[in-house]
Amino acid sequence: MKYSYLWLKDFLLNIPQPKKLADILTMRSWEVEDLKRSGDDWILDISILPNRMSDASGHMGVAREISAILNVGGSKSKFILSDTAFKENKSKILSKYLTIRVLDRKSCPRYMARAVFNIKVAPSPKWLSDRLIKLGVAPINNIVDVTNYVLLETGQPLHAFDYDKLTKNSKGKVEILVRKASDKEKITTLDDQNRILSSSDLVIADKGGPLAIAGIKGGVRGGISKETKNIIIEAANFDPITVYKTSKKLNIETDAAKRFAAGLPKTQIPGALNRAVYLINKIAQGAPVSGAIDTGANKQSNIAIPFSLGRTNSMLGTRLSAKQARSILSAIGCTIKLISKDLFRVTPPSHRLDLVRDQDLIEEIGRLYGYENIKAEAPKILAYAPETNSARITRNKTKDFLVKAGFIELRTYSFVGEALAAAFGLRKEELIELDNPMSEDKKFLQPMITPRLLAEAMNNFKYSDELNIFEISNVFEYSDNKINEREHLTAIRAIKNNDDTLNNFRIVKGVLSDMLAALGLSDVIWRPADTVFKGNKNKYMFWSTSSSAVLEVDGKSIGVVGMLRPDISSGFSWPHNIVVAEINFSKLVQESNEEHEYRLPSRYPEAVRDIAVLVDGNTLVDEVGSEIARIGKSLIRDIELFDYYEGENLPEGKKSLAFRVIYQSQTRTLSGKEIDDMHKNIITALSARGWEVR
Amino acid sequence: MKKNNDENTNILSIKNDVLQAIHGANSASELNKIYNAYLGKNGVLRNLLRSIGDIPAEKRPGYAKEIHNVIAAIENSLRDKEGVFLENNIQTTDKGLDITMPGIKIKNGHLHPLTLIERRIEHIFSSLGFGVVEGPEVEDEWHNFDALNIPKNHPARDMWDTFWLRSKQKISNSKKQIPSPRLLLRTHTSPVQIRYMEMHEPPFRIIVPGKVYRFEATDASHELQFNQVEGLMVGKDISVANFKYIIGVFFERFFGTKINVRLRASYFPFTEPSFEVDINCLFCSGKGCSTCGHSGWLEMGGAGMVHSEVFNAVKYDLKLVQGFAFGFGLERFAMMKYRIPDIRLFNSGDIRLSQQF
Ligand SMILES: [Zn+2]
Repeated sequence: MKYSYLWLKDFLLNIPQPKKLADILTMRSWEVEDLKRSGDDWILDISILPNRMSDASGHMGVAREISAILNVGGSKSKFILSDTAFKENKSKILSKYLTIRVLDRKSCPRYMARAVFNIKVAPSPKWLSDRLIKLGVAPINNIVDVTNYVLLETGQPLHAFDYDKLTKNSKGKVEILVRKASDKEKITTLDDQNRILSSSDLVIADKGGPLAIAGIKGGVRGGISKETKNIIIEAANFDPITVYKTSKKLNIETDAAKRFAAGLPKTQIPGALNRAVYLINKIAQGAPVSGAIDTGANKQSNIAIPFSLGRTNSMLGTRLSAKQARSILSAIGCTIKLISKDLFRVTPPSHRLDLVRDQDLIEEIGRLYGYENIKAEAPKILAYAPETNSARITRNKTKDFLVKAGFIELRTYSFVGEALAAAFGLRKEELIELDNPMSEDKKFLQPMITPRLLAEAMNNFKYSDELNIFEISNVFEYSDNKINEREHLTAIRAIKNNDDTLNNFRIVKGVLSDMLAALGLSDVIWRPADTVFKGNKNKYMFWSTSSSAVLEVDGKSIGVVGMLRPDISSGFSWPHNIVVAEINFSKLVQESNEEHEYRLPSRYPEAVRDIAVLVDGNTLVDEVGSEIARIGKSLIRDIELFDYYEGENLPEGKKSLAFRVIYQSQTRTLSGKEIDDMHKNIITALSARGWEVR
Repeated sequence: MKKNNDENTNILSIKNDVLQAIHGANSASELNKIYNAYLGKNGVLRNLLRSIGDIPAEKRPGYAKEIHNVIAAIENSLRDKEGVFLENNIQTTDKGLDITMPGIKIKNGHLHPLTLIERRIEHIFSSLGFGVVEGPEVEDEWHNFDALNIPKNHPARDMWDTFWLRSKQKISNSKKQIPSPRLLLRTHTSPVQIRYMEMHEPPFRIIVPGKVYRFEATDASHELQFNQVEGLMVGKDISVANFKYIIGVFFERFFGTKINVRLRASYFPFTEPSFEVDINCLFCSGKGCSTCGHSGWLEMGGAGMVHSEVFNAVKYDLKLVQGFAFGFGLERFAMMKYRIPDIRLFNSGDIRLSQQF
């Protein structure tokens, strides 16, 4: 909010130099975001914080704050407006012209009005319009300008009505009603917008309908024009929540609404109203009608707060004396009653609506004493054993492992748009939609990391021919009537101009297998996805099921690894060899936390035998491997594929698989004969399956 | 006697022959041949040992000893000669390395810079005894706002522009009735502090890192999705002075240099007193530059003493607890430390960002 240095000086003669003042305010009260010269004046842009809008949204309030900062321990200044006295026209009594009925007292705790007749609407004098212009308010005419001027001065919004445009009752009297609007009631506001109201909105009305949206904006009817002769000036207090809700709903932000929504002291109303009448009388002539109408509460009931010096010092980490504390509290206008050496009863001044509990007072003492005067002090108990966060430990291990394996960590938005979701076959009924998305491509929370990550990451082919990337992020899905949030890991490998998907897959599989082992997970199974999904619709829609594996750890499926569906890659003009792994990381963390029993390495010698088999092209390596394992039972420690070949010198449609079988027992030394016999059994069993052992 | 002599002479002549052969050998492979011929599995001397049964019993010990002496002598000689070859070999083949050749890199991946910053911050706070706590990104209105003393229909709420979820969806873990169940994307990680306090009694000290979301147009310094680290320390007598100590140590360790920290009066609904935490500008050492808006100070985050309404919300006894809370944006730390000019780079998925770290 903008403040004029010279205007502040009107209230505080010995005000510090502008730059110094800006520093003081920034440290003790509110940040001065900008300090600019304007002719012989300076304009301070002060970001008044929401809790202080109620007392510092006018120049008088800020001057009062400056005085509190500077006069800590010094004299108390009273901030009362000078120049509010005017001569009333005793022949005209306001109650003969106007009655006010507040039908909703909760929404309007106080409503006060005065009238000035026979004014002359004209442009404002230069001194007045200059001040408005400097602070970014456009001058309109002397009446409206005065209400704006007093607003900037006191923080109290005022509104002027053209008396002659208001509907009179049978006695020739104007009756102002403060009431809730009826549903679909209409008003055209001063900015020429037609607004449709509802029963939660408060209006100022006469018999002819709404004249203003209370505390927010005036209506065209009743507005001040060049022809206006007689005016009514309103100074009121409105319920903050009512004003806030209506201004949000109708999307009207005005200086008045901003202040009423924060809450204003009811006590400032008469001063501000008299000031306005005085100024109007001075610059637009006319005669103030005798008397004022004032309905509702005229007191701000500030409650005394019990205040403990001991608690204050404990919370701030200071050793302030009672005298120091009292001098700060009285500088901001509090009255203090001593109960004991430690306990005071503190009554805040009526304009400080923000001071209601002892912590509010402790803050006042802290900031005005100066946080720079509080000395850093180590907490007394430093020894404290925090719980370990196993998810973080596992996440860090995983990230470090993937980085060692050549993968680059990326981060992307947690959102997907409709187009991306559709392209990846994400099920719409499981997507969580935002009420107020920022853009089309961020309409839903991502249920999987892959779509967004791929969409962003594939741009990197501009800079790199080979992509090995990963992201660990939360994903969200709507299922079983609730929102499920969990953490996922996605790793992607893609190569430009290369069709060897199998090789890509094997690299990703190798990395993930090692990663799982590094996390202490040994019971890992890679199951062909088409045997798991059997062609029915599933959420793993974006993998080619004939070229993907479901990854199982300790018997639970934790993710899918495999080739991105070629129609998806084609649709985005991506290569066809993209291998994607998306893993439920939350589950992985759980599994890696399970107890894993240590297995003693066997003390007995091992023997190695190789077997090469010629099989059909569609026979899986695992099928042969598990047959070997089935026959070998506990005599085999490990089986690994060490050679794979298809092509020249082999019959059409066949491939050659060479396994290395490691025989070893946990309990005894195997004899050569035992091993040879077992090996023969295996060969027999494989041959029986129609696989040619070579 | 003769026979005995013969046998010994025979051994000695073998010894001489072998030693001569070793002496005259020109390569390691020749040595190997000699070894195999005499000391190998079927070598001359091994065979002699094996045929020791042919010798009269009384002569056997002396004879065997003689053979073993010869074997030892040959082995010694072989070893010496091998040493000579090895030395020659080194002299002839080691022509020196050009150690100015560029290194051959093993292809490593990279962590995202935010991960690095996050780890650094966590490491420092862990060493100060803080636990690391995490929580959900989808939150209910009560945990994100109400419990933090940010009431409905109050202008204070406008400080957090919020992404709301389509209504009627519930969070899975909410069994009990929540006063304001409407769902949103958390605007700060503070709701995790509420969740932590609901489950734990003081004293404790924790930090809460994580993603947060704001309904905000993005530009070079604003993001709708960014990361925070918030901290909370609660005990019987935790004070502003304690906060100054902890945060001072943190900044010094983070930047590895002496840092001036200043607290400025501020307002947050969930803390009171509230302050902004500034550090002296690292780019101009406080003299004033464009980065710090010529003030000499950089705004790092907000902090304050936990508001009694927040303790009320988690049903703590106000007479027994007080504590501080603080919050920082991770991106700001990363941008400062690594001089990254645009906050939008972090979520861009551009490998050229991560590759530099
Ligand atoms: Zn600077």
